[in-house]
Amino acid sequence: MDPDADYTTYVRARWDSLVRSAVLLGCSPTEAEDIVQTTLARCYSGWAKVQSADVPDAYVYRTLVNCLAKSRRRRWLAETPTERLPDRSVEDPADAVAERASVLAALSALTESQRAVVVLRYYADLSERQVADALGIPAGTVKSRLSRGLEQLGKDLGDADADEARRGSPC
Amino acid sequence: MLTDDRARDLLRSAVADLTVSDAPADELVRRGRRTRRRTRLTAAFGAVALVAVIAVGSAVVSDIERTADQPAATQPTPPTETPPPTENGLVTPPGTRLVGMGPIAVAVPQDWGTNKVKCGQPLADTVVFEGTGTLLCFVPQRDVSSVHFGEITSAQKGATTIDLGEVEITRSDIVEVQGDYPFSVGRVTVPSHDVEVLVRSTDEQIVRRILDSVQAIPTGYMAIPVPYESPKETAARLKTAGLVVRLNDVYRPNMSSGVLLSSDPPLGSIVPRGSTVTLNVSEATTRTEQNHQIVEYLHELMTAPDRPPQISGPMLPVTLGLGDEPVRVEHLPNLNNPDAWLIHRESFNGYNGPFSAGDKLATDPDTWTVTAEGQQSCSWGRAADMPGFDKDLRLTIEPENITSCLEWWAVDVYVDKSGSIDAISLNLVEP
Repeated sequence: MDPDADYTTYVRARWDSLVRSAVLLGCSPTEAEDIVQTTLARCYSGWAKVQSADVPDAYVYRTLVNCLAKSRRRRWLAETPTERLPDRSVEDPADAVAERASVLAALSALTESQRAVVVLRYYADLSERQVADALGIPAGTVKSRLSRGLEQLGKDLGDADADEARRGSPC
Repeated sequence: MLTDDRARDLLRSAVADLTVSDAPADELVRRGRRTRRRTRLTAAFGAVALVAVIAVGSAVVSDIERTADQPAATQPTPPTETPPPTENGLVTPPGTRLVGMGPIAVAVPQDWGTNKVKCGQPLADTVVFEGTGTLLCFVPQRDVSSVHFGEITSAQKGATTIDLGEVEITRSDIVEVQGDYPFSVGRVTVPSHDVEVLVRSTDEQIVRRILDSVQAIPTGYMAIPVPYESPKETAARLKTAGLVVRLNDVYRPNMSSGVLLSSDPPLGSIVPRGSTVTLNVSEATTRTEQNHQIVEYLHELMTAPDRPPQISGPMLPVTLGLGDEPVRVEHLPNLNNPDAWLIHRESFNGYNGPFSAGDKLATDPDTWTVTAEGQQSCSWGRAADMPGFDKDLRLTIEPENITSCLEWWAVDVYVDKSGSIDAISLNLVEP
């Protein structure tokens, strides 16, 4: 297949989820589109590598995370203001907006490394092995960061989720 | 702890309603191809034939170039008129300002901005520091001119070496590059300091004039160094370079804190060593919780004057004002007495006095909106800050549901970084 055509097909297929991933990784929607453009532009110049990768998505997400880190270093996000988490339960089905806001706020309360593994694992649907490859860290580190990240998210999102998790657990 | 499925659901729902633009796939491909051509262009710099006319001992480079398509026998363009040197030995042609990096400076038009770029593309005529040459996301190319300062990106084969007296530079011929807007580009480098100046414009004469203005920065002067990644590191770098640095927080509610916004004088300006440089740094936090506490405190101060609650920070004097005019100073504990709020003026904006912001603060807080953006619903834009408090966070309290602007009022509360109230001002709409 023509590399440009292959690239175009990939961009069209993944653009949306990459932008949403970038938002979950902490970008504003506008920044997210910029970062994803930067990511995909880099991938264009190394498209042969992307094509030959075992999991092209992992390669692209790795580039996305690197671009994001570089962007943050440039802008020096020394302080990321975090809104106070809402006091009420996010399980209120009547208030989906509050739930979404609280999920983003809870994500922002994670460390950057925890946030990256959580988003790549649970939004980008990469396997733990692929997350490890994408982030250049051992699989064991992915597991521990996921565990701590989910625990923190559970705490920040309120007892309702934690209760549900307990109910759903065989233990 | 959350289950895997619950975590997936939460993340998906958090961005489910996000509006995402269409994938710019075709534009990305075009940009990628352009970047390839640009890479070839960089390589082509070394292949451009040189015409060597070396001006030795001159502080200003003479006109030494020809364009790539001119035959070698063509006479060089007559030199532009050299303006008289200024007292400090720097040459600043009329209508220009000097900007530089390391040991050299060039003159650019006075109205050019600094770092007016997005995704590597200049948005207006501008000086650009670092980050040049890589176009990793895209903004359509515009018909603008720019001077890029940065590290040397590639060797300049065939460039002319010019001795500026205190430093040696190399200069390449001006070449034309095809694209959406065909533009001319020229380059000088300072190999000893790893500095490159790339000038590009659709008007070749602009490129030529700027390259002609290259000069060595005399002893006792320096170019304000370009920023590092953080204001703190930038400040350290500037201090090391012999400048006095003042950090100035600028309230920017929609940005992250700690972003270097600008400097005064602008980065790259040529200044005497030991000059003071002000770095303007974003202060983003909206201090939501603190804002809430402050507003609640003021309300309680008016409605429960016997038991004024405490807020963090010392009880400093508070300036009371009308609009942007400071009127007098009271001490905060005294403001539990409604009379202490009274400003005895016959009239203000067409209303008869006396006036009291305290009366407004005694109304029901559930009927207020509190903003830090100064968007006052019945005023023409944001009213001016009271002089002397423009560095403070300005909280504006307004009535929420009014049927007419004649019912509108605003109490502006100026809060310093420590959370202390500096000033409170009452505003009324001018009929």
